[in-house]
Amino acid sequence: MTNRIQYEDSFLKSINKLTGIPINKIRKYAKENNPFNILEHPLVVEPNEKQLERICKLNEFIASYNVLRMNEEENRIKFKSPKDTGQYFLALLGGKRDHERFMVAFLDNSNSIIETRTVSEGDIASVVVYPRKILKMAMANDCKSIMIAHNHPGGSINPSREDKALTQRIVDIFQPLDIRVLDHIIVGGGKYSSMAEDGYLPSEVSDKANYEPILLDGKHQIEERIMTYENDFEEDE
Amino acid sequence: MNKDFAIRKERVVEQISQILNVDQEVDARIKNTIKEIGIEAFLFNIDTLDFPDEMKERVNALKEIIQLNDIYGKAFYSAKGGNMDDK
Repeated sequence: MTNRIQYEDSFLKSINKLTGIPINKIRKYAKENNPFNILEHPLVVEPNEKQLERICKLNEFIASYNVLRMNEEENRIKFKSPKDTGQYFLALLGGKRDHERFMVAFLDNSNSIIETRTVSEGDIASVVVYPRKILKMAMANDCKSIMIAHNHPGGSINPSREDKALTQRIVDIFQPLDIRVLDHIIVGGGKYSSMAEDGYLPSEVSDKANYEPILLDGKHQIEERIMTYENDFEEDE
Repeated sequence: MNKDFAIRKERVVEQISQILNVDQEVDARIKNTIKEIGIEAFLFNIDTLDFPDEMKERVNALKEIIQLNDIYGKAFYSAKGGNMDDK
């Protein structure tokens, strides 16, 4: 019940944020009534003209979204090339410059996306990836292949030694299960690189599956960049 | 992608822009992003996207409403004694 009350309040706050109806008014109504009534019968909270218009727009959106969502299932995004994959993850990770984020897209046998999930988030230069978690998600999605991606907040899109080792570890886990790892996209500085396209994607298992968490540590890249910058600066002087 | 789907998608994108009340530049970026990754991925990955924080907060509010309405909308009706007058 506590959870439900929490959810209810977060629903009320969201209504307040998007419509401008005062939160006290909304809470007062929800205390005695079904809060979800506000969407279907907005007059119960006596909105002004502008607020009423916003609720109507919200309702229209929810209705259209529900239909579209069903259609989106049938019109799933399909990866046909590393460029498609790169553009997709660039849109998802391109805005992330304050910390590293590791994502996985789970695909069916026609390379259409079943689901895309953020698997882990780290700090400015590192992220810990948990293979067990990815495996669990892959099983839940009953996928045929996966695409992995992460961002380099520093802007470099060259795969580091750790990036290559991580990719190999993921291949070692998934290939024996007949789940192909199709690509590893690295996003940084508004660009992306594809390990498949650049020939870095391992095609074979190199070791037995190891499910220990993997640390992707990009700190050395930052240090290298600082050194390069300092050297350039000295040369200029 | 079939024509109906494209039209529906365009309509939803138009509606989302109106609800979020954003300027033209952000509006164009929302449209491009949804075209690239789809509406669902846009809503559920909004925190990773490069948009103003205030807009992200509004998208998260929208997401919250959709999710909770999906999960609890009907359940509340029965739990609170069915006070939705016309149901």
